[in-house]
Amino acid sequence: MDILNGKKEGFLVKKIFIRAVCVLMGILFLYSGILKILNPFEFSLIVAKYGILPEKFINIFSTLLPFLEIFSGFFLLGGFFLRGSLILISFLLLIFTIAISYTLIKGYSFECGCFEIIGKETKTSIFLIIRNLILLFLSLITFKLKT
Amino acid sequence: MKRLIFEIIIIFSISAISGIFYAFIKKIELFPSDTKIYIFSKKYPEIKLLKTNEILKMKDIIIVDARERIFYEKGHIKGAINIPYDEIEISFYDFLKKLDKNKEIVIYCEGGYCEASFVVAEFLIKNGFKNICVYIDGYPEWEKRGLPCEKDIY
Repeated sequence: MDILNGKKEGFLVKKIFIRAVCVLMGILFLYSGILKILNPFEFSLIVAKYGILPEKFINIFSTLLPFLEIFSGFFLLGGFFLRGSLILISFLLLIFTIAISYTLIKGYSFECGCFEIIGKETKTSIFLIIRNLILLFLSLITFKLKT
Repeated sequence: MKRLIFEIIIIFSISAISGIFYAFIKKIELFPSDTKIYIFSKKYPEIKLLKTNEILKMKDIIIVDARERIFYEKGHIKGAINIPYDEIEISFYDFLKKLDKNKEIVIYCEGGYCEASFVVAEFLIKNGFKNICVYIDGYPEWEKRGLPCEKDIY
């Protein structure tokens, strides 16, 4: 009986953890995507400053990326397509982390274009890499639990 | 696995369709012919952007270097005055206030996607200057073309 109760509790904890991470990620990415859509050219400029993408693709990337964030965030909050959304969000976090690392290696520091209000941005820094890695870890753990 | 790929494709497709539709509604060019000019002209619609050839045709202008003092000292466009974007208010009260507000002022920085010249340009516009332009190619292009430059004379 105790073993059964323990299993039930473990299952409940796992379910709560998955839900909590999905809600957190959902809100974060929904918010981030909406901010970018409201300030499309500010975001394009930030993408350009990273100097990673060829000029031709800056606008299409900065127009489509916020929608990817918004829909992934929306599905995480709504509880649909959880695994797909988590993988996409993990992929985005990985790209962001690589991009920020690249700017730091090159010695640049500018607005990161992450989750803050544009104009009051956090500058690219090691702190952002750590934050992204924590989010990436949470996202991948949740994906594994969900699988 | 199939289910996962299906989910990713669905989210990707919805996002792509929404993004393209949004760009269409907002008249955002997804592949502009000159990305740099397009982005800056959209972000700062009140500021005129100039290329090197246009600057060369202009007469009786004030040229402002918006870079930090250390870069200005290493080399700048001949005759340019330095108003570093991070010391703009001090410079303003120092000597900018005395300038004719109708005079044509051309501001430049490092070229590329450097925003310092736009920071200075916006400040001057806010303070009543009427003819403010930004030299979009910036100092590296000027120097590359072998146009007149000078080092600091302090």
